[in-house]
Amino acid sequence: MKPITTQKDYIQSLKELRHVVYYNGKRVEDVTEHPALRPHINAAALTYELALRPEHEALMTAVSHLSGKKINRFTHIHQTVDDLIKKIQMLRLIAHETGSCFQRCVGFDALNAVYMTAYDIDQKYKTDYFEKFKKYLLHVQESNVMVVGGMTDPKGDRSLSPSKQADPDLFTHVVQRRTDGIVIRGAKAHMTGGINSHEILLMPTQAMKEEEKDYALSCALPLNAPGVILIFGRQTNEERKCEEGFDAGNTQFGLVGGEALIIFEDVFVPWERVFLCGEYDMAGLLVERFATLHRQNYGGCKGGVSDILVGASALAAEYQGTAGASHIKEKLAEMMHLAETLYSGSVACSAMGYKTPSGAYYPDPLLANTTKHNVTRHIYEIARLAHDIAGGIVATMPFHGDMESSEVGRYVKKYLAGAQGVSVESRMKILRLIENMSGGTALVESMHGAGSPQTQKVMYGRLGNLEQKKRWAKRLVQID
Amino acid sequence: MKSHKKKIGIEKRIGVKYCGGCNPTYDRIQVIRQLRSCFLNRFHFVLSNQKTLNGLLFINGCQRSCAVENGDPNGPGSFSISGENELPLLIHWLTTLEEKENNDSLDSFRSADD
Repeated sequence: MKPITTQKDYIQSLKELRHVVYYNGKRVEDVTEHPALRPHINAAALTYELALRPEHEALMTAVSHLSGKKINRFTHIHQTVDDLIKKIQMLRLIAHETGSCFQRCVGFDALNAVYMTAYDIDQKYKTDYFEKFKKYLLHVQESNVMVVGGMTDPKGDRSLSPSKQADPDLFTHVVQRRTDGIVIRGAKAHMTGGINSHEILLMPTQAMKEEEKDYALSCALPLNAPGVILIFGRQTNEERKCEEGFDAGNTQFGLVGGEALIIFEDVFVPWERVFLCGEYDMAGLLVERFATLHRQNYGGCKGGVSDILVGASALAAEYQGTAGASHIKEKLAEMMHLAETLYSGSVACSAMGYKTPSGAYYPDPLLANTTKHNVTRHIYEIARLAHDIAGGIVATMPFHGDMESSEVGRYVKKYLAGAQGVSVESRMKILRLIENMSGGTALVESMHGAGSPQTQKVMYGRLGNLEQKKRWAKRLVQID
Repeated sequence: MKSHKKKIGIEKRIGVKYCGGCNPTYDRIQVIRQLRSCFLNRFHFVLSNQKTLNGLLFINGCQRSCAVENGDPNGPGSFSISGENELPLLIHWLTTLEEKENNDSLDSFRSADD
């Protein structure tokens, strides 16, 4: 495969992928031409394009520790604490360009998590996963393919473990071991950037028990492999992406990541692309590492997206003449405080990162979890404040088509007028952007992306050092 | 003698090194646009890894000044900008650099004459 360098290369590579994608019950022949899919593709394409710009090269590129060559940072294995911090800076930067999720961090985190865990599995079981994974990594770095990290299984009845499910396929598992590879079946849900990635790097969805060896699975495969089917997830205001005009809010880059349900119907994976297969006691470590690496991100990307929402809210206030009101200034200050709090968390867990036995660097897991946990709250509060500032018009504004109408356009322009000198179109565009970024799918993604809040709370119990905290309290008041 | 004369007043090459631009407080590219317009045909702004540079310019988005991490902003022939308010200083630096380069060329031209 020709290495992907430019935005144009990326789009062309997706045209040639010919993977099986469904949108609203219909097969999509060319994802790049589909109006509902293209905005997400545009967002991911920027991860290629920005890496070519001298003004962003310092963050968007890195030097491969394997080849010594300059690579896209999304394919890099963190070699220092500085790499961890640069990751966060890069995410904020790209979010400023897209105002939405650009999807490629999931694969980035999967590469790092599998890299460091494959090394540990080999140490324990004398397997050869690490060397195989390094070869795979080199392929990813040199081809610059977009990899989707596949962790979340559908999970069926949450009260039952994988091996106890009525349908064994509700967790992705090995159905056949052959001399040349394995055959897998199951699905991965909520796969951000799935429809516009080239490959998927699968990981188990949770810690596994001995009777769940077939579910302790990590492997990589191209998304055009026979038996792989992708079904795009419907988003809030999905149809607006197929309309002309500005009602979609962020017409160029869409809304969050563009998630998909990815099905594996007896898919063959050669042994050289298998990085965990049956070592059930290592599944939990891999899950925890991916979760930490992914939770590390959220103050970067959501911080950057929140910057856009703060800017849009400030403009909405200016456009309707409320910018001078003290309560508006106070609300904007609060939004900025929340956004910077998120960013601080991501920087902090990166700064406190450390070297794993594999040599790859890893963020502080407790701080990374805290960061993501804050995202499940602060993004909602930022959105609430945006709604407060923008006013009810966010929910009641007429269509873009009404503004363009020869019959009622003049009324829309007359009665949606705001501050003097501001066009109605500008006001409507900003309000639609706020609507796009502050409701529905955008909020749910902040809640559940990289794990639901409860998964972060579980980590406080494990990493929160509660016994030591009790000892400190007892010591202070001299309790034996 | 002719070749020495050509050096005076010709376009000087300034290598530009940017920080990554994670959260810049101003438009860093606009700075280059302004300089290009201000020093039309006098300075050529190129990537910092190119050869035969007359000066090196570090463009940082904020006071953290990440662009200078791998360079010396206080070295001879270099300047680091971290905010829009520093643009007049940058213009002054380029003007001084231009005068110095031209004087050096003139001196060299005179020595050649001698």
